[in-house]
Amino acid sequence: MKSYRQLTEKYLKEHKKRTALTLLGIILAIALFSSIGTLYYSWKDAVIKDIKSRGNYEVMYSEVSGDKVKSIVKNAEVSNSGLIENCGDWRIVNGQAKDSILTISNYDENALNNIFNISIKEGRFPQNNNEIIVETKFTNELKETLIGKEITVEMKTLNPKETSNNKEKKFIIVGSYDSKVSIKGNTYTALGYFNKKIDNQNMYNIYVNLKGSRNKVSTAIKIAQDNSLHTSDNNNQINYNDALLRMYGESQNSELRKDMKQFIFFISIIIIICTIAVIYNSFSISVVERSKHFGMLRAIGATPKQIKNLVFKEAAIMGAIAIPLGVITGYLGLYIIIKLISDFNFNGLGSFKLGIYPKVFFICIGLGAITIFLSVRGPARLASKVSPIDAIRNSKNIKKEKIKIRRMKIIKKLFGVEGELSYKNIRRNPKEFWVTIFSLVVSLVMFIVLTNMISVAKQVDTFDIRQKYYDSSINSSSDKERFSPELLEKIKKLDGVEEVYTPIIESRNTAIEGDKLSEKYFKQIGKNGGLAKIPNSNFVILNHVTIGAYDSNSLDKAKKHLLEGRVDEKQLDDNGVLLVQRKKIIKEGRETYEDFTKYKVGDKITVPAFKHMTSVIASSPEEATRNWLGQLIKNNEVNTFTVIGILDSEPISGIRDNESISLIFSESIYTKITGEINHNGAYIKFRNQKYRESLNGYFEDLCASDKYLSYMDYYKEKEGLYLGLIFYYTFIAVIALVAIVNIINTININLLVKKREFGIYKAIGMTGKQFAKLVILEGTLYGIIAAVVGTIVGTVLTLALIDGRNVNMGVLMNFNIGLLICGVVGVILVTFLASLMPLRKLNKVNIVESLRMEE
Amino acid sequence: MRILKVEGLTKKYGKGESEIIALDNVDFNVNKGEFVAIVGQSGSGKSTLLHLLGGVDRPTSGEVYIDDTNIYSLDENELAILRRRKVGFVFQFYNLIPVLTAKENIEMPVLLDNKIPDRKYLNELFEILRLNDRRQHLPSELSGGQQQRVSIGRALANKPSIILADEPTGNLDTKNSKEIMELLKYSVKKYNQTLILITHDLNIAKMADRIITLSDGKIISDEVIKQ
Repeated sequence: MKSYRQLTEKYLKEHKKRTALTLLGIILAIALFSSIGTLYYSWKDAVIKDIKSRGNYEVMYSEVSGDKVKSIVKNAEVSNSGLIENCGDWRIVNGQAKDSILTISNYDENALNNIFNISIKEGRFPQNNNEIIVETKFTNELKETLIGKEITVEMKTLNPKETSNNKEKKFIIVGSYDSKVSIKGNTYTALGYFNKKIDNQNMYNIYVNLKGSRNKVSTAIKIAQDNSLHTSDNNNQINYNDALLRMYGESQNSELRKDMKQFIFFISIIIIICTIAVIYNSFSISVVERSKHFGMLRAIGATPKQIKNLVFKEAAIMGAIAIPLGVITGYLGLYIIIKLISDFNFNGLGSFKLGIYPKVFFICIGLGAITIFLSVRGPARLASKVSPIDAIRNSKNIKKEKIKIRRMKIIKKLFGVEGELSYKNIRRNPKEFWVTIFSLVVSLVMFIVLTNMISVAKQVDTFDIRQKYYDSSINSSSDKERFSPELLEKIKKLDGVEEVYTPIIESRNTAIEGDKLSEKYFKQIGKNGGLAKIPNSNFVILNHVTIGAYDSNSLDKAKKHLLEGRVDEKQLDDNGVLLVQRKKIIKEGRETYEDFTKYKVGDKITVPAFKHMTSVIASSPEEATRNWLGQLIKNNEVNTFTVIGILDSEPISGIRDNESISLIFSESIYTKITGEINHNGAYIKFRNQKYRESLNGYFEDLCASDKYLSYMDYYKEKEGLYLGLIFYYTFIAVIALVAIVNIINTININLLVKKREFGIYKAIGMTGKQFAKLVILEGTLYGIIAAVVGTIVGTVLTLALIDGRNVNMGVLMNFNIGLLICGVVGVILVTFLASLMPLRKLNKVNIVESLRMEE
Repeated sequence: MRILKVEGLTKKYGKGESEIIALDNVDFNVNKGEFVAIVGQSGSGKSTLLHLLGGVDRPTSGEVYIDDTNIYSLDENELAILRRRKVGFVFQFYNLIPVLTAKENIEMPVLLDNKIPDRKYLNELFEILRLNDRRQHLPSELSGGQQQRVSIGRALANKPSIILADEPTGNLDTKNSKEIMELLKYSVKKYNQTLILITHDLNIAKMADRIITLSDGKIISDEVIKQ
């Protein structure tokens, strides 16, 4: 040995298991930092990439006159920009595509290449004013080669450039492109030639990316103000790419920014604290164990500083090994999880890819170093304070500990003498005791809080529960040609289709008796308008009432959302109605749920007949509605239905937040009251993943050949949810692992350093069974105490957090007792198992040997 | 009346060339109420003998009978119970349990038996051991002499047949040593117990009724001092 510092390596090698366990604790913590950081940045990049694929801009200034364009584009704060000139809607007057509408815009080079990344599918870009390119949907539907063909168009909408209403133009189609935005029906997008010479009389939309990474909103406003653009609500010329700005943390929604930052900060603190618990405990115990050696070193001339340095060096070596391993483990662990998910064809991750981020590595090093340093400071100081004389005296360890007399009658009653002894033993070092308990409590609390939050979020999401009952939907947008019954039948018979729902949902303005509205809601939404009393009656207008007809399958699902009453088709056919009256409303900037009306099961709802408004003399649409409905009520043209059931939401369409009610009828009643029944779509549930993937292609092809049909795959929307769930569950698992490592380390070391003491117990007559009980309880009591504390803290925190989101108590929130029990059992089981390991070792130790041991 | 019988007791460590014979075919008997001192040089096998007598170690060969029970025919549990009820150990380094008070340390063997301590008897012990004002103190709050007295109290708590003391005064000064020996003698006389004590102090050995001298694991002399 060449230096006293080499003592460190010798000690680490001598206690390989303990060293390994402590290293594991640090590795896990760093892995957690690393995986969270990598996941966060990768997710952010994926989302940003996705957003930018639809438009790589941060701010858009709309309808800017040509004379201001240069000033904005050349502004020092602007990094790059693209210009778009809207040329209006044009109807094709000849050929196969007659009456189709072309929405023509002219994109400059930057807009084409950088902002919207338009790529030519066929042909070339326009090179003069008479040339256009059209979206591929147009060419596909016409099923003929359009490239090179001339079309004649006439103006459909007013364009500031044009003065005549019936101006005709001829264009040659020179190419086709894939449009980012698809308009249903017979309207298509087209791109014309952009004249590089800016016309001061023209209006342009300017898409801009700003240079600075901060204060983008205020910079954008300043640019607008400097160029005399309107920035007020009514006539705002600034439009933000909110989705992108949110990802940059520059969203206008400051609540969102604050929430995200708070969340990340909170998570980081938790990880740091749990890791400190592991490292602190491990070093603390090992220092106490070696205090005789430190005392000896002091006796032979080592300074307190040199002793401290030994401990710090130990920590530094552990850090140097554990931090890089932790970073790699975190990345690899995440990679494996992502790969497994992709391999199992969840398909919920879309284009998400894991990236490698040097900044994550550096953050991990920094956080790891800080954590280790904070953990080791105390034990290092303790080691340096051991006096030489303590080492020389044999009874030094008795004197050293400041033990308090502890009595816990309840423990003695429950677990006997052995329990009382165990309790006293674990309490003899208060810091170590509380650090271990804290580590376990944090894991349990995290588990309770996060798993409950996930289940509450899922419940809240059930208000928009499209994903729950079906995987996709197909709809027709045509007013004239609704969804054909033949197509519906064909879909139902497709192999792989498990269930098809065909609700009809539409929105109408109607009226209900005013005294049936809840006063609270009445007052709250009153100031938002949409509510007006019908003269000479007690009816008030309700806008956007959803009326619907549910088929049998949809009614079957409605049963799962029943709050009161029944879903009975027979009763529905007998003028019954299912009512949805619980709405999410914003109150003082926060969300809450309240009952919109006072209707109960058995009550009668009377509404004006659902007849289409005929001509009514009025000065405004609102007045027309009031007059029309008033007329119906006066003529007693009303329908009365009996509420047979009240639902918490509409389970199929998932429509919510209309600030109104929903009335769901059977198909026969709906037909009777509206005079017609026309399905406009179907919601489809596939038998399994394989069928979903293959039939998706079928439906997409079907829609490609019918301009009125559109198809939506809701499964893709689960991307974010999956990532969120991966994050949550991985986080919980790793925090739990860190706690497990801590408890194993602590219990293991605590028991093994007391070999002599355990020898005494055996010497004075403790049987094997009593000894086993003592050792096991020394571990398990940690778990029991942590379970009690963690249950209280976790429950209170969960209830507070859920309440803090203003979900109406007892309505949506169900605190999950099952999860709580799982957590509690888990904690106690871990501590129980952690004490079995040293028990086996201690049982092997000879009494005489243990009595002869020096402590 | 014979309380202890030792027959052919042998303890060996290691094998072959590195074999050490700590105890070599030791035979002797002890009567109830006797005070026996075991003396010898360091490494003569004194502690090994004491440990084997108390059942905290197992011999290579030979038997030990306490109250006509061959203790090595008992399993571990039975041996532990025997130690608890029939044998009281007093160690050189006290070996008290640091988290228990003096009172709790003394009561521990009784509690391990799931019995309620005999308050009268224990109060008497505290009186004899002069620990009345130290009952609620932790070992760290007691002097060496006080700790050893607690250790003696623990050894006596279950009214064992035999007290085995391994250098009980080895860690104490002269005054305390004298006190401890007087206490031991007094209590064993009062409760009619047998005391087997290891010491390297001839003055203490001379207090005994009988001195057994060990050398290289063998008894080289067995001398009755007092009748």
